[in-house]
Amino acid sequence: MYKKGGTSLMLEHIIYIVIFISFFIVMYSFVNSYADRSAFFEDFYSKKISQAINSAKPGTEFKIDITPLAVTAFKRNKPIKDLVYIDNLNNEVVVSSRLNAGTSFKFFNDVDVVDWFVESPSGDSKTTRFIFKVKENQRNEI
Amino acid sequence: MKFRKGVIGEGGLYFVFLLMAIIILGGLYGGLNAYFGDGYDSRLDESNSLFNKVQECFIKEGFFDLTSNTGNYLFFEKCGLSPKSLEDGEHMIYVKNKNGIEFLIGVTDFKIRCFLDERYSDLNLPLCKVYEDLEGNYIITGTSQNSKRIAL
Repeated sequence: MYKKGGTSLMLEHIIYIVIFISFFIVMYSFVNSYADRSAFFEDFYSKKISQAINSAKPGTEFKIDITPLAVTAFKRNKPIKDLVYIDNLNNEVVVSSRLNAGTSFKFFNDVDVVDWFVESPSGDSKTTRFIFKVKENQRNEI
Repeated sequence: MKFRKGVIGEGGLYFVFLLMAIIILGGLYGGLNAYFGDGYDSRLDESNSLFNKVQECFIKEGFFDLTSNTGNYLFFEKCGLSPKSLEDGEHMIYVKNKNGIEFLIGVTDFKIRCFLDERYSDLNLPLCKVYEDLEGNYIITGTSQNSKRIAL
């Protein structure tokens, strides 16, 4: 004996499952697009560079390896030279591995960071360093 | 007793429905947490750096021997610290020297918040360095600063 409506009940559930699977695939792609940890690396390097500046004496030169950040930025077509920016006016380190966004962190040491640039000696993202010098502050903020 | 055909099968489909909902919500939570999660906690490192700068400066400039308050201007000038960063509502320096002279920069309430039990798990609370030397000079430095996401 066949019950009327049995086919439509089955169809209803199949549609439910198909919708769920489609939604899952879309969400998975969304989450996966952030899975390269770019936000974590931005956060980490902005803090590490600030920490280096905070502990620095005027005249010190730093070379910090930022290869993991450069690798994620490379995948997002971010130019390597724009990975790190120092805002001496606001005492901020800005790290960005994405095209229109970045992460900033303040340093408290009242110094000027000069001659800063991102260096990639081999030409690719796998050997990338951020180089900068710390000098005495020439501005009077107080 | 009444038996209805398909009851078990229909119930099984609701289980699948529930399972998929859990998987999706779990994936969303995990993914968003991975991206917008706590990140690297640098509060204690920063407090230690700040403490080292303050202690070194106070010894060098003789601030531990003061018998009257000289104000913050002299401190910023002599110690090479940025008032713009330290007075941003996320830092505190508190010093009480052996003569009882108090010196405070930043958030006054950090003197309490530095000792709250939740300070390790709650990133909005400061993590602090607390130090007292043999002469009775007392220093607390603390920060609750976290990185900020900005548009470029």
